[in-house]
This record gives sequence, C-alpha cells and structure tokens, in this order.
Amino acid sequence: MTAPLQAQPAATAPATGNVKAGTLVDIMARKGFWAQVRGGGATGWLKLSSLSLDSSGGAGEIAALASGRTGTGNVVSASGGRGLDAADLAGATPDNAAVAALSGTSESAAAQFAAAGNLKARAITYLRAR
Amino acid sequence: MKARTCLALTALLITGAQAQFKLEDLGNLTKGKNLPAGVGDVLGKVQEYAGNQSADDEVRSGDTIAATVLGAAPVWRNQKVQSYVNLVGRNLARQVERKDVNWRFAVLDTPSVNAMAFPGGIVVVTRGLYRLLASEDELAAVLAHEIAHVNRKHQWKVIQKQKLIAMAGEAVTKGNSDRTAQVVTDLGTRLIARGLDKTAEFEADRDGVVIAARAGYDSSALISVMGRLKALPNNADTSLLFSTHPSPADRIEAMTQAATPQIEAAATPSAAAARIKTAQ
Repeated sequence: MTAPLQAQPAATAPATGNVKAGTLVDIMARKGFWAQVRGGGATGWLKLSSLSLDSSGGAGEIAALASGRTGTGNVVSASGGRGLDAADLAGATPDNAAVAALSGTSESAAAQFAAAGNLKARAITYLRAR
Repeated sequence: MKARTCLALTALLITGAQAQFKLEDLGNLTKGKNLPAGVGDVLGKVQEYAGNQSADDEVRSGDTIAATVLGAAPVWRNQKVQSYVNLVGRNLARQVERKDVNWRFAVLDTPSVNAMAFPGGIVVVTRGLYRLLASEDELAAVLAHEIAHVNRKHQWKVIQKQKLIAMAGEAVTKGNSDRTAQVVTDLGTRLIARGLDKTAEFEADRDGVVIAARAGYDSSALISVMGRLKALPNNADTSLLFSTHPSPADRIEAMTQAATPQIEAAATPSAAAARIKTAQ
C-alpha cells in the first residue's frame, strides 16, 4: 500500500512520488490539513489523514504512514494507576469526595492565561457535516 | 433511536419507534384532556421526574456519574498539571454558547487512554492520553471535543430520554425521587461504558475543531491527536476509547470533509503550543 506525494498541498497538484505504508518520514512543514514530508527517498506533500504521529514529539517530529503498523514504539505506559475499561467502571465504588474536591478555575484567570500565551480569539462559524 | 444508545432496560418497555416522542408531547397529552383516573397522575409523575430540568439537576446528575469514574481512576496528584488543564479548558469554554455550566477539568491517574465529559461540566482526560499530547494545541483539541459534548448536552439528552422511558415503566407501580436518582446514575454510568452514537461523536469533533480555533489554537490539532491514536494498539488501555468512538481514520476523514477555508486558514500552531512542556 502506498500514498501519493504531491508537489503542492493540494490533491490536484502534480505527483512527486509515492511512499510505502509504514515508511518513517520527517515532517518538514505544515500547511492547512497537509504536511510536507521527506522519507523513503521522496519529498512531497501528504494529507494529514495519511499520517500517524509518533508521540515522542519534539521539533523534528517523526511520522509514519498509518495504514501499516508504525515501526516505532508507540507504547502506552503499563505502569502506575488503575485501568479504566468497562469492567473497571462496573466494579467502581463512587468517590463523591473526589468530585467535591474539583474546584475548576475562574473565567478571569482563564482570560489572563490566554493573554499570557498570546492566544487571540477568532470568530469562526460551526461546521456542518459533509 | 440508535441501537448503541438503547439500553436493555428501555428496550423491554417501549419499542424504538414508540420511543421517538418528545417530552413536550406529554404536556400536550395531559393539557385540557379528561384522562382516565390515575393516568394523569402517572403522566404528571413521569414529567416531574423526567421533564426538562434545570442546569442544577444536570450538574447534580453529572457529578454523581463522574463519582463512579473517579472511583475507578483517581485524580492525578499533580497540582501543576491540574491547574494548567483547568486554565486551558476554562478558556476554551468561554468560546461556547452555554453559560450555565460549572466547568471543572481533571487529569485522572490511569494509563488508559481516554477523555470524557459529564453532564453539567466535569471533563476528564486520562494521564495515558495526556502524555501522548505534544502541544497545548493538542490538549485544547481534546478538551474542546469534550466541551462540545456538554455544550450540546449530548449525554444529558440521552439520559433524559432513557430516564423518561424507564420511569414510565416504573411509575405505573410507584416512583420516588431516590429511585429516580439511582436510575439516572445507572443510565449515566452505562452510557460512559457504551458511548454515544457516532453522529454525536462526529458532531463533537467538528464543534471541537471550531471551539479550539476560536480560542486561537491550531484547527488541525484534533487531526494530529487522531494520528497519534491511530498508532496505538487495541489493548486494555485503549479498548474503552476505541469501542465508544468511531475509528480515528473515520474521524479524520469526517473532519477533513467538513473543513471550510476559514478552518483550514486556522491550521497553524498557536503561540502557546509549547506551554504544555512546562506542565508535565
């Protein structure tokens, strides 16, 4: 299975090559719902939907094609804490004190936090299903 | 009514087609009509228990349901992270229409990968999911999806509908408020385990993308999170998430299809993206 690479971030752009599923690629740039990637001897733009992201994160983020299993260790920690599956829920004893202890934060503190992060609110309309 | 949201309890009482009536229909039914002795009382009771309730009732019920989840997975003892997540979440909540919500956010100490919203405004993210997130934009995307569920009352509407049906059956014999509270808690806990229908999840994805973008975050961050979920194996830590949501690939596809030029233009990392690294 392969995914096509495009010369520009558009499905209509000329193809620059193909990458095989499972290939590790470097993300060089992002634009809209596209990522410019390099890997498997090719460079080009790939839809974000073709990528599966490695959570090691960092600036030089590595990604692999999702349709195959990624070669890197996307392992979820098995240590610490209890599980939270349907059986765990069914057997749980309610902890009302833990709920009562949740205090939240104020709207004004949140607004200050947004300003400190240089986050600017934008008017954006809701999306419709298509 | 979708099969996934149809609990066994309700299925016995009323068939899917008959369950489509709305709460208001009951009011019309009882208004100005001479009902047989006792029927008016029963309908009145049902309406009292299951009718449109205040935000206080929603918070009370949601908190009771959340208590069960917190009984299964405790709040992570990391005050820095808890404060941080509350600030990110509360700021996002400023972008939605509902103002009658008691917003509280928490990270739960469990390796399971999941996030949940409860009626009335408790939103939780598991430590297993939190550690996968690479930026504040990705955290915001997850929280915004959950905020959308509360803003649209997705869970609360399902609980109300099913409570109406459950209580209609019980009211014929006898109903009391303790029993009603128990029914709501049971319905809510089962809803957490079974999940909402796919339509509600896709809607929360679309709304979540918009809510995060409104707050100044990267509109493609939820797609990035889905990319991370796609890479996870289906195991004990992911089974509940994967069984209660459409596949990450389907969710990415639906968001991509729904995206407008306005949303695509907002697909750049925010200035606050790296702030998550200060709260680990």
